[in-house]
Amino acid sequence: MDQQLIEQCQRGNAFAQKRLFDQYANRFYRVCLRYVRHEQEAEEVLMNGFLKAFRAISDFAYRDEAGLEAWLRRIMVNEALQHLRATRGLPAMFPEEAMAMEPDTAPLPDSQLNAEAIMELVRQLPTGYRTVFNLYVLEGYSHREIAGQLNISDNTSKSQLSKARALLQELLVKQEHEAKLRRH
Amino acid sequence: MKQSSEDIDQVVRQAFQSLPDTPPPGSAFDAQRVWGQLNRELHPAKPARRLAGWWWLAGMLFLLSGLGWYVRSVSSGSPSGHETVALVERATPKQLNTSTSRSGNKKAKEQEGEGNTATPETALLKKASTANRQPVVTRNQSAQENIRIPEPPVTEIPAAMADQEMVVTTEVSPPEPASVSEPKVLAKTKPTASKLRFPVVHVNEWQAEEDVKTSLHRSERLVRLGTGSHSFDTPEPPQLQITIPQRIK
Repeated sequence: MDQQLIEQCQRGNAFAQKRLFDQYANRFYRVCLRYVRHEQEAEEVLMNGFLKAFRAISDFAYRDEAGLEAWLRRIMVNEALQHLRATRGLPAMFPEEAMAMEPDTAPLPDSQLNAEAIMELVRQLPTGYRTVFNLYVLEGYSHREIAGQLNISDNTSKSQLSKARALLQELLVKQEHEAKLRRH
Repeated sequence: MKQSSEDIDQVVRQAFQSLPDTPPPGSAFDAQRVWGQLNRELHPAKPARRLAGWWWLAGMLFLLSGLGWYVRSVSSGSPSGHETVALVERATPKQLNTSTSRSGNKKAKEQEGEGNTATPETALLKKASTANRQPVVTRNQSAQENIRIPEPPVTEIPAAMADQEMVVTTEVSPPEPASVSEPKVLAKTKPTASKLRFPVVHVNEWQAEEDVKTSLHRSERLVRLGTGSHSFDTPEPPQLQITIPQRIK
């Protein structure tokens, strides 16, 4: 099914392009929203990402649905990073700052927060932390790949990730505590 | 420490995997709106606009040419109609005869061959009936049809009135040599106008009318002398010749 859809998209069929867009638009909108702060920016990144995907789809060799989704996700993430670079959304990141900050050794509370709330906490992270955290934890990039994408060193990527984890843990504990208070 | 880091990574991964494929609650994201913008980028409508532009231009040219033709035709009127009217006024039967003799129109010959002794009335009726089919009538055909002057019908005078002195005046409308005119012009003229009228007038009444006419036009009794080619230029003074008689010796 998807293979025929991809073949039609490769021929420039607008109907097939719309079907592919409808299939993945919401999912990748959430991906874009993890990298950029505002919804308007996320829409712009999504549109540009699909535009690049449809223009480059003639070179794409379809194997399975997972491969198609991974290809599209990579395009979206690259577009989001490019958007952050263009808008100077990525602050200058230095490893010395992060080394001093270590994550809390205390165990995580039994999180009863729903997925939407956790996503909102991730979005509250500073842009540098959030970007590295997203790339490492959710996209599965290595520190070397992240360093190559963001033009930083491996140590900087590691330190940014450590800081992101520590801050997110702190936010999770705080959110959990507030939720408990609301329940009581 | 590592355990804690992996825990938080796991919590976040699980949370994101459980998220539905819908925009976050409270989001104003509209996939169709974004697709509309994307579709415009993917399939720009420039060729269609160009095509529409060409069609528009062609339509405008056609409209302008049609308008120009209409204005020209209206401003010039019907030149053939005016021409025929002028010809009606000028044409003499002789000219018409010559024109008919020259004509090689088959239709005219056919009609002649059919023994169509057309009176002006029939000619007019024919013209009127064929006016729609033949907007332009050839000069020769119409001339041939209308040149035939009908013979005035003979009126029989009753025997009782035979002994009386009668003057019969016939008012015959002149057969219109307007045979060359357009059928529309001929159709407008009433066929009844060409009917012959024979007013029967007593001789005394006729005499009275003649007296009135003569009184109205007194110049009829005047006689003009000379050729009429006299010029009113200042005449040369007459040269007086004085002849002196010679003395008789």
